[in-house]
Amino acid sequence: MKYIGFALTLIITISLGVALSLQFGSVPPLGKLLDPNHGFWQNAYTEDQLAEDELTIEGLSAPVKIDYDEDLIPHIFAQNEEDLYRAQGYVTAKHRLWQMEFQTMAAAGRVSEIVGEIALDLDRMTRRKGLPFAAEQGLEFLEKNDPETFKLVNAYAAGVNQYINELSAAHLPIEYKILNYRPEEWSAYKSILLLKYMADMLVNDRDLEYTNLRNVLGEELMDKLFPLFPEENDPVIEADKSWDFEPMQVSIPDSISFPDEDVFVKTMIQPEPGIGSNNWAVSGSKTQSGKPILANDPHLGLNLPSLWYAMQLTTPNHSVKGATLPGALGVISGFNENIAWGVTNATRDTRDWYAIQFRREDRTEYLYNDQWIQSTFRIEEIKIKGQADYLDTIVYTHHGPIVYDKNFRSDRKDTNFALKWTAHMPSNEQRTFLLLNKGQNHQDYIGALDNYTSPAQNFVFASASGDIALKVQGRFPLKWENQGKFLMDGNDPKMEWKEFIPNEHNAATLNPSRGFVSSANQHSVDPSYPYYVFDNSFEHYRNRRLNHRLSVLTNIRIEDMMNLQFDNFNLHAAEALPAMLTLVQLDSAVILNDEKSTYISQLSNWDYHTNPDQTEPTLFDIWWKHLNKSIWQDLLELDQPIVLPNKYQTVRLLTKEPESTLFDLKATETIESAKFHVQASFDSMLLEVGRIREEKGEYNWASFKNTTVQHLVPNFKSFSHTGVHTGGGAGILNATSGRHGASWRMVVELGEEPQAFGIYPGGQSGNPGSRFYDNFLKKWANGEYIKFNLRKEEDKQNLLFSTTLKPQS
Amino acid sequence: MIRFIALLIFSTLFLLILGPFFPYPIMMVGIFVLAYLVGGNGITSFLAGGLSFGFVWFFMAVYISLASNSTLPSKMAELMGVENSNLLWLATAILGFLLGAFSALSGSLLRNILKKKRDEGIYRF
Repeated sequence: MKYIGFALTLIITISLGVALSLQFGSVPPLGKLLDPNHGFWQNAYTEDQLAEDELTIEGLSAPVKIDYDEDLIPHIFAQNEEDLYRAQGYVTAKHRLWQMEFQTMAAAGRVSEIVGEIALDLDRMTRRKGLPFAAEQGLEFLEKNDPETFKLVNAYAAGVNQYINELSAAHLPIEYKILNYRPEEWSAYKSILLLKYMADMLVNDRDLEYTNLRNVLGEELMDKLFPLFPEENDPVIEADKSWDFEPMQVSIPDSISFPDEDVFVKTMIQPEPGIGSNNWAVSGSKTQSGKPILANDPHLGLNLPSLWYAMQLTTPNHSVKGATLPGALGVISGFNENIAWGVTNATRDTRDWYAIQFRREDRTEYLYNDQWIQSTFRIEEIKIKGQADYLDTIVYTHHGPIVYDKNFRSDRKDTNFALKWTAHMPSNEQRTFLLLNKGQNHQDYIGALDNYTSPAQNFVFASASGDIALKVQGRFPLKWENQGKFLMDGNDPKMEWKEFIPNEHNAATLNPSRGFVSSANQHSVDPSYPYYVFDNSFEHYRNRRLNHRLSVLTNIRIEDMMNLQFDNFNLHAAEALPAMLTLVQLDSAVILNDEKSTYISQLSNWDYHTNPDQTEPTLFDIWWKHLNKSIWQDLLELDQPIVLPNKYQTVRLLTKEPESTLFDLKATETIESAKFHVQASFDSMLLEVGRIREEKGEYNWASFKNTTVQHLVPNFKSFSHTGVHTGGGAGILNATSGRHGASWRMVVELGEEPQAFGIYPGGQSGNPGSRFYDNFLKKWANGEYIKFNLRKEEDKQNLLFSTTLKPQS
Repeated sequence: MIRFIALLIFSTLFLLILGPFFPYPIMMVGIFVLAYLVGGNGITSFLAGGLSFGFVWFFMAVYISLASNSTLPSKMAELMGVENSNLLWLATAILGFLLGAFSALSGSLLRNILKKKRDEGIYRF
């Protein structure tokens, strides 16, 4: 009996011990998690409670001092660059380890390892797009061609690894504890992968959708609804710029035949319309101080831990401060004593598709120039949490990887679409940022940009010596008109990219007479630019609002630039709503109806601003959504993937050609015009607003758009913030919509001592238990900034704590 | 009673001093050994081991919450579907109690078996 009693108790004890340290489905290991010595309780401490005065770091050549200011922004003072980046790696890992690793896992197509089968499709897409392949190319390039950068990237990796190796179970970031895994080793490869991930986030193409659309609409309508340049083109590089180079000649093939079959594949998710960024610089001639001012606000997904991590990086030769990307070296958008720079996405179609014909089902040979060419296979091994590995064979052609085929997102056996993308090419984006960080003048800036390939960016620049500049930089294939706009024939050599536009011919401007440079993801250039520039997703509203404001403003102060970043004027509404109101009131019943006429008078009196407490933006937003859906319903009902005309073209159609046959719905016997859609969508809006008012009791803009800053694991709801009270919206300078918006705002006035301000929707700490996790959020939502000046090593004010990193003796 | 108090004190000290350095299964083994050495009966060991483990975990959870003044406990409570973050203190305490109690009981029962064996052996000679 005693034996049985003991055995039974022992079994219970061991089962308790084991069971509580295991994960069951989505239930985390409770014993490990609740253990106050090692579980989540330990993550409740804030960084200053765990501050260390001294740490020993392997591989340092001299001591490195880190001063954290009252917002936990580290200011790193090192004696040389290798020490600097080693320390940057260490410090970034200390505050953002889980995030930087998770993002590179996503970039490598390895999310399934952490969350299970639910992410398999995403991982396969990432790998088929060739992101890991691209990072391998990038690493190889670095190793062979740029040993200096390679050394620094490795120093950064060593810094990260030192932190990982000495990380105690107690201080493991909480996400690891909940999801029950541990960080793995960091490497130079991962830093490169992260930069490729940015390319993936920011580049889009609609080639397959355009292929279908051309079949549905025909060439003529395509050109009308998707023109190369809009009527009111207000490009990045001022329209009157005269090009001072002899352009390369493009040989247009005599006969061009694009494959014309409809494409039925589930195309990839594209960056949301309205994602984008603003940047500008005004010259001293327009500012109160006589010094140039530069501003940048990249708009991206609003996430926690924040995408950006603010830092100052200082050596005896340079001191730079700004937003860093955890995982990448240096500052991405920032300033130093001499220059400031910022980035916006220079969207352009640098991703093309080729239909490939294979000889046999084994796909070992494909047709190119009417000859059979050997393909290569890359077998991707995808680990899945709690399941057997998944093997995905990806066929590579000389064009690039086959993304869509019989095994992935296509039902047809003969579908084989290869992806050609500039991000696959060897490149050295990291060097661009390292050089910008220590740049001193316009020449250094241009030199830094020459290393930059993808994702193409509009780099804005200002210098203490008074220059302002902007350059559209990326590696752009030299294309003939329409090349790559549609799916192309992989057999036909005429369809291939041959040469690239030289860096010196990329559109750029220096000190233009209008006294400012600016970009907001719009068309890069005026039609006079001698190269073919095409993309589907150019912005049409923020750019015109921005340039209008910059041209009328004079005697500009830093506050004016802050106000412009927070500008809530909805130009799209200002151009569309008057026509919509006119058309809806053609129906006399609308005017006589009390409810309807109330809304109409409310909208008629709207100032087109989108402040959080206004209700008109909600009305317009809902109305427009229904109107757009109503106008294009014939296209929306098609089975094959297509893309709709953008809202700028739709508004033009509505205002200039309200009787156009494009408004007629094929399914009905009557002939519809714009009036029909406007009135029908107005009624839909009434219904929806009625429902919202009933459910929520209010329909002001902030509560309707529900700006949400979401933890990278969406299920971790209590680590996220919903219903952030702030204005703005997609296509508005303050581009804060539901899930996207200014992920970083910076304004810098250059001069003897640069005056800088910055803010982002989050906080310096990646730990949801820290008070620095989201302490910037409220200020950001209110359009406030924190003072962001360069700090000197001897400065003592606003110091949270200091840590000295000592070399191993 | 003396064995109860002895085990309570020894395990509490053991958990407080070594807890930060070892994962909790190691601490369970420790309580098991302590209970074996102290040699209380089943009930006293069960209660002493459970109370010390539960108390130490409870005390630490409360201490960390107060010292850090962090919102993390309530965020975790929400994440785990618990309404009130104070319930997490309780959950931590109960979990600790179970781990300590069963470890100690096992230790005491083992001693019970071995002691008997030894007695029998002595008798035979």
